[in-house]
Amino acid sequence: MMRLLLLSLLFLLLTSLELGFVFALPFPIDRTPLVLAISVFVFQALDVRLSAWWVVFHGMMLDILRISFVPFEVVSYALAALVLVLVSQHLFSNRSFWGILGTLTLSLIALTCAQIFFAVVESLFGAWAPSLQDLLSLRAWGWGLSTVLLLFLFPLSQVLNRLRARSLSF
Amino acid sequence: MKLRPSISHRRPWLTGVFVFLVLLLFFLARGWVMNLLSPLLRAASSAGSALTVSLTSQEQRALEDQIVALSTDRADYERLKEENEVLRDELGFVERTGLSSVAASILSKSLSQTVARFVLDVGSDEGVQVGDPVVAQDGLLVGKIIQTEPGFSTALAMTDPTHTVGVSLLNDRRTIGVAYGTVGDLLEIRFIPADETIGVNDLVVTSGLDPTVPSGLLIGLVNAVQQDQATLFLTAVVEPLADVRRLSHVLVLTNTSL
Repeated sequence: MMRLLLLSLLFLLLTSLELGFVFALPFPIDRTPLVLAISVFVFQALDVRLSAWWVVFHGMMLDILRISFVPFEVVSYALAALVLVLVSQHLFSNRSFWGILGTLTLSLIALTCAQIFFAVVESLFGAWAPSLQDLLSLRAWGWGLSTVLLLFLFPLSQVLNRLRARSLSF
Repeated sequence: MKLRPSISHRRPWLTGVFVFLVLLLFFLARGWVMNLLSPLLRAASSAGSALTVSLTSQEQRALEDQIVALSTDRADYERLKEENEVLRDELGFVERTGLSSVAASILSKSLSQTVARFVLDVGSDEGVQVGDPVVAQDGLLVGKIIQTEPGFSTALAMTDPTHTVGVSLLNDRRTIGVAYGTVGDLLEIRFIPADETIGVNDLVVTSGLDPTVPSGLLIGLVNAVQQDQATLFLTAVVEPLADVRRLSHVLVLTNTSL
């Protein structure tokens, strides 16, 4: 129960940090998918599997605030979370930086594909849709910046895992 | 290489139902969730905006402030002159339209080529309605409300590609048109008849033709004028004076449709 509460608080902190702080920074830093990158890191490197739900709830937050360019972000982010879970269990190692980066990359691709699908569906009903080039360039910035973030986070994983193991042994 | 055993799910459907219920609860209690998050978001957004402002060079900031101040003075002068000539016997702008405003903090903003929206910490409880204009403290139009909920609302910034507003140019003929948000940080006034005389640096203000947006709110300056050879219409490219990225507090003009 305490763990669930702690993870919920961490999610609220993370989502506030992305929606409030990161989004207010100048381009291209504002395109960093902080919640997704940290969720992938926590899921893969720290083996906290509930962190996949952070991704889904972040999509829900975007829907509630209606701040995204496409609707049904909860579905797009749920797909990204599903890819995160499947890929980390069946494809990539959770012991290397490249495994974590691969998981993040495939999750971002799944997210982008879902968003493009919803943008196309919306445009069929007459709504404005962004150009594919703009969308992909923004996502490329997001991928690059989250890679930099992972480069900083990955060395911490061993320290955090050791701390966790020590706290569990008591 | 797989180093972790796969998770065994005895009752995957039960997990699905549980998650669906949690998401439903999260969505239904969105007002409560936003009340919980508002202080965090407000602090984070203010810190982000302050950092963005500090990253802009001091000289650039001083020049931008000067442009805003001069444009505001010019717009006020033109508006007052016109009002003085035409509406001398009537009441002032605020009294005439019954405008009232609600001060708001920006909780979150999403600004890119694909979207330009921001979330405010005031909502239907404070009388904010869909279509209400959002202005910066110095009276520059920033955007329009597109969604209100108890406790928060979402606004479309002027530069969002789906945003439109009726505008008037402060040139000799007071040209009117519709300003469209574009992919980027500029606006476009399209389909201006070719016989209109529009100059670079002409001021653009709201025309009052939108039912919820009062006239005279300052929008920006004409940056360039392009002529479409096929249709013989002009397109004025407008640089907005309000920069949402640098703002953390705004005013929502309520009761504008009265």
